[in-house]
Amino acid sequence: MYKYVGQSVKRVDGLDKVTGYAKYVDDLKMPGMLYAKIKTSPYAHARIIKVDTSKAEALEGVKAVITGKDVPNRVGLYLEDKTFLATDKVRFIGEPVAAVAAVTPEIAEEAVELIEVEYEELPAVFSAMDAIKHDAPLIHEDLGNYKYGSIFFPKPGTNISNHYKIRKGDIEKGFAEADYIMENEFYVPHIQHAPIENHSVIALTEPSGKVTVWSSCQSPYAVRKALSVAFNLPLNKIRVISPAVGGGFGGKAGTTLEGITIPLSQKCMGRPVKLTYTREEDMVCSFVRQGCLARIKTGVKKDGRIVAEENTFYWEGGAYTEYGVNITRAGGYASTGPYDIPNVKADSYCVYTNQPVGGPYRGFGMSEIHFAIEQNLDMVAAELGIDPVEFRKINAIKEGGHTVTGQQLFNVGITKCIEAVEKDIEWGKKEKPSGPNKVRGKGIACMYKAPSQPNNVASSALIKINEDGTANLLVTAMDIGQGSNTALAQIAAEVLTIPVEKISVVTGDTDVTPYEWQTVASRITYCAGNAVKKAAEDAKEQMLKLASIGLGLPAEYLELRDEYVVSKIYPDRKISIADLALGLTMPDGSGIHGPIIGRGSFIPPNVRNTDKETGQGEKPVAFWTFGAQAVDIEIDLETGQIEVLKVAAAYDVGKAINPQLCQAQIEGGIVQGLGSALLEHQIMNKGKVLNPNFVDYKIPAVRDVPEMIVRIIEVPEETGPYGARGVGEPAMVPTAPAIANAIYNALGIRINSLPLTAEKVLYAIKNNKSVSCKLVKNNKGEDGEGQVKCGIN
Amino acid sequence: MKHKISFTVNGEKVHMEVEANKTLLRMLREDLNLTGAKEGCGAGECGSCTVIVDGKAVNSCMMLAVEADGKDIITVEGLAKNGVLDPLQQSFINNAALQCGYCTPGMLMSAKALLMRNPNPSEDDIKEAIGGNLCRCTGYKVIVDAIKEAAGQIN
Amino acid sequence: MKKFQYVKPSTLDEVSDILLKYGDEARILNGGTDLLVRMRDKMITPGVVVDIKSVPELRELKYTKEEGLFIGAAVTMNEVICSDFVLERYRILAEAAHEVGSYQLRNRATVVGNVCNASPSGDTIAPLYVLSAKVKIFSKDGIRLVPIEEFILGVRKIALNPGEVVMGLQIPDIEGKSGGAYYKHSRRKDVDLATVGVAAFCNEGKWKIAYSAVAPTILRGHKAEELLNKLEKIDEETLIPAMDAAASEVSPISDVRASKEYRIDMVRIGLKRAVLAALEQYK
Repeated sequence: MYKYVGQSVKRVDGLDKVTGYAKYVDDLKMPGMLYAKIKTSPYAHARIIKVDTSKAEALEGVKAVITGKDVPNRVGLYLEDKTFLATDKVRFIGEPVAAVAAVTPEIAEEAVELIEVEYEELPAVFSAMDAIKHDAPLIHEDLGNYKYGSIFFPKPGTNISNHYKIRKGDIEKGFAEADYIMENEFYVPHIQHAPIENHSVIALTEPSGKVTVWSSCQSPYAVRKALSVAFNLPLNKIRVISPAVGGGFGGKAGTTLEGITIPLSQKCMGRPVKLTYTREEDMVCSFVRQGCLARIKTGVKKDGRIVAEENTFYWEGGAYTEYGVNITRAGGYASTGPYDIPNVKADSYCVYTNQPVGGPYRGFGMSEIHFAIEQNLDMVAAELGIDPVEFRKINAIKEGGHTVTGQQLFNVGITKCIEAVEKDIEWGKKEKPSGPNKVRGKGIACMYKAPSQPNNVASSALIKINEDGTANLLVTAMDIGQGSNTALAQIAAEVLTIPVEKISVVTGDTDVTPYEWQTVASRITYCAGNAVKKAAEDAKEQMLKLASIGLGLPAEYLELRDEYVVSKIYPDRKISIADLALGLTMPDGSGIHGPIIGRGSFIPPNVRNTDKETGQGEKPVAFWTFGAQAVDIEIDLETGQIEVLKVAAAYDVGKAINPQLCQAQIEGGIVQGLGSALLEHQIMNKGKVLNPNFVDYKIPAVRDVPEMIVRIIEVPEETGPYGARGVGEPAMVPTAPAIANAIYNALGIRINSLPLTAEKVLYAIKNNKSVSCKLVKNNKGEDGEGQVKCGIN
Repeated sequence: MKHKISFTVNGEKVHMEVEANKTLLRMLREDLNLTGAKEGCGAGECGSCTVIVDGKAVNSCMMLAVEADGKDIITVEGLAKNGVLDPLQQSFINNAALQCGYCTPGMLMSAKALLMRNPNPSEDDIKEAIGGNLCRCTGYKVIVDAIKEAAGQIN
Repeated sequence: MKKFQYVKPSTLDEVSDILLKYGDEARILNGGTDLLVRMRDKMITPGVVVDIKSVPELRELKYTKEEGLFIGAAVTMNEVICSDFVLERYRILAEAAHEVGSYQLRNRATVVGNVCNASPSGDTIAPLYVLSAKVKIFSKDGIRLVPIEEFILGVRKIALNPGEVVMGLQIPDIEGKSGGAYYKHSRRKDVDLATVGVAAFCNEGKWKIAYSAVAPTILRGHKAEELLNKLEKIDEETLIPAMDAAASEVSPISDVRASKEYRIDMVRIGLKRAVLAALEQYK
């Protein structure tokens, strides 16, 4: 049907990457470059009494030393609670306190050791439940004075920086109607993004005061905005360039270390200052995924319909929640998962703790809540004696059904996804274990996600048609690996009929490429894709108008075909795109119009705020993506080790602009999900990360990968370009709960916290200790059975 | 104190003076502009710094620059010859065996070293060769496929 | 890394002289896969780094009936793994070496380096214990051979006097039937430190067992050995007392990798798996 969209076009940036030519920030070398290093806090919570930088400044080769005094302005995407360097207090172990720029990295390291900081230790809190106690030490006493977006609800005088509520229907009535009520609790610990490229930034200040920043970042414009606020610089005096990015997964969204290099560069006028985090710094000092304690109370009818659900999420947001408050919100408005439940009460709390900074991580809260939701579903289904797949089919949102905010949905693909994985994993077929002392099990989990972005986020694109018929596509959507450069070029190619290889994608320079809010939220194909499509259509409209004049035919009778404007009826009446690129030349030699520049701007249509009290809203998000995964595992009963043999995944992506790259995202997501399920855990002791390196923070390697069957389902999203939705984050959300459910299927044992380590599994096997349903009561008021300890492992 | 060393890189003879406390990785990246090899961890755990020294894949962050003296080194920049991609490079592109590309040079060098010593590797051999190369994007399956395909082409 | 002096002697005498001259200030650079990590993390800051890879004797890997297997100090893990006579006669060692790090790492890391590091979880060390390896040490006063169990004194502590250089490992020839296996339990399949390791070796019916990652040094499993040597038939049932004995004779700690209880459990299972695997190799 389409020539370029829907084709598995090869990555446009592949050649640069396989030849080692692609330049990432740390690869960049500039004349006079200086090297920066940070000094970090050894305390989880302490007042800064004094910072003495004199010895560091005196060291030969040191060009600048800065402390919090040089970067006092609070910044933040959704809540302005952070400074780039600690000012009055330190709030987590690893918080940058000072920084040095020197002529070599070694001298910078030496200088950092010479900086003397005097602290007064303060009591600290390391879990959400401790932090919300009445007498908990306050981490942000000034919370009441911070600026924040109107859709957030911080509670000054507490450690709660956001409380998002859903009040749908009538929860009391719902539970009264239920035949059974169950309460369960789940915990997900902190994990790390671990992109293979560490955070890296270079800053250069010119005599005019203009600042140029090269940053490995997902969102050059967000960085520009944050720096503008932090340093009182007008936006046109800041230029942010993002070259190749070696993986982000959310950890390079917003800003992390950019603000540290600017004051250093301002003190070293004209000399670029480079700061590249070590792996240890990257794992602690940038962003982590927050921990989450989830409590779910479910009211269900005997026939399997969930009639009431109460979700309470406590997010361990870390020392600064400028970004985390929105993850809390996303968790709130997606709180029940992709199921149609008439009565819902949800409370999602973002809580400050003296731990590393929680930030956006692939899934933006969805992985955390679905670990709880999807296990909870299986637990409820088990009590009712209903098969987990059937149970999901009963409750999944159908065509015309409603979400937890009351939004009515059409073009809903969740049931198709369930059916696909049910078939691919051969649900119901009992598999043979590979030996004695081994058992097999299968599990399923679903998910949904919408881009968690402000309602009015904007994208834009520019297309310049060149006089030889090639084109330059300018966007600030960043290709962080997901393949956006390729997909966006395909969309432009489809409209313009210019082949993909003739379109050069230019990205990541706020002086040149037009505004893009951020490359996060699985939003680029949809948002930037729409902007690109509009820009291409704008260029097309200009070309048709000019061609109409040149050919003497009405524009409606013309179309673009194979790089020409052609008459629909008389194919020999045509003008090449190349000949129109700089305007139309008339027979008498004059010219009209001028260069063809296609402009496209896009804001998702009609996305509106939800009600402050009830969280209800008809269209609180741009679109939803649905998906499901089913897994087939084998457990070694003697060691507790889990081998994931097969994962079947199905996602409704609306329209796969590039099926090969779409599949690639899903495979990568499955493996990352597997990592969070079995291996990954930021182990902390009183706020100190004990495993900030690859020796003890293990991510999946090649032998950990199961057989993967990926199905791409296409139920078109009406507002998406060619029907496309997003898939980058959904790809990893269901893996962990599917594995947890498979463990139950194999052993009859529930493990309600991540990661599902061999040790936990063996302990559960040995002690036959499940943290299964606490059957509170059936509706006749009789005490339920099967009460087992319901706590956190 | 600087040490004089001589070695070949991607077929070219190089004479240099290096400080003892510089790793081979940093020398390649900073002094020779061969930025393909990356410092993902600096501790021999992620493999993104993999280069081939005297025919063997090594983590260049775990070697001192001075140890390059007398050695024959191949980096990712030396794979393509006269603008023609190595079958591995082409195969990585064909199979979408890369996304962000940061682990790709290291992966290619581990794979190249494998095919140099074993032109007909089994799937197990391939997984052994890249077991020390971490990738966060692809899920590895496509990388194994790409190496298999390249091996098939060479034969 | 802090600055240091790099020297590359070509004889054992020279190495010895440098070590005597600089004492604690000097460190040996062999494969470098441990030294460089510790220097990067600033856990050690030697003033002098002595690269021993140019000393020809240290690159030797040879087998003779009289002396058995000699692994020179600079012989890499991959060289050991690929060696025909190691695979033929000392397979347990090849298997254990294969568990160390990644392929790239094994092109540089050395077995002797693994021993001299004396980490509680070094994968090649437990097999060397059960193979009755001796450490061959050079000094100005001559060459001495020290049983490996006496060589490793504690975490990162070895019985080396000032000026002494480890030349290599001497492993006696094995007479008669034998079979050995190394069971390694780790969090991830590849490139991970051992949570627990068990080496089992049987020669003409006599068993030797050693455990790694469950004590400051590798531990010989005397209790388990005693019970194994009494067994007429070995299977999952009859092994249970020996498994219990293994669990009782180790004293692991809890750390970020595993708890003490889990390690003890894995030693129990590891003993069984190592013994059964050793029997499969028995010939």
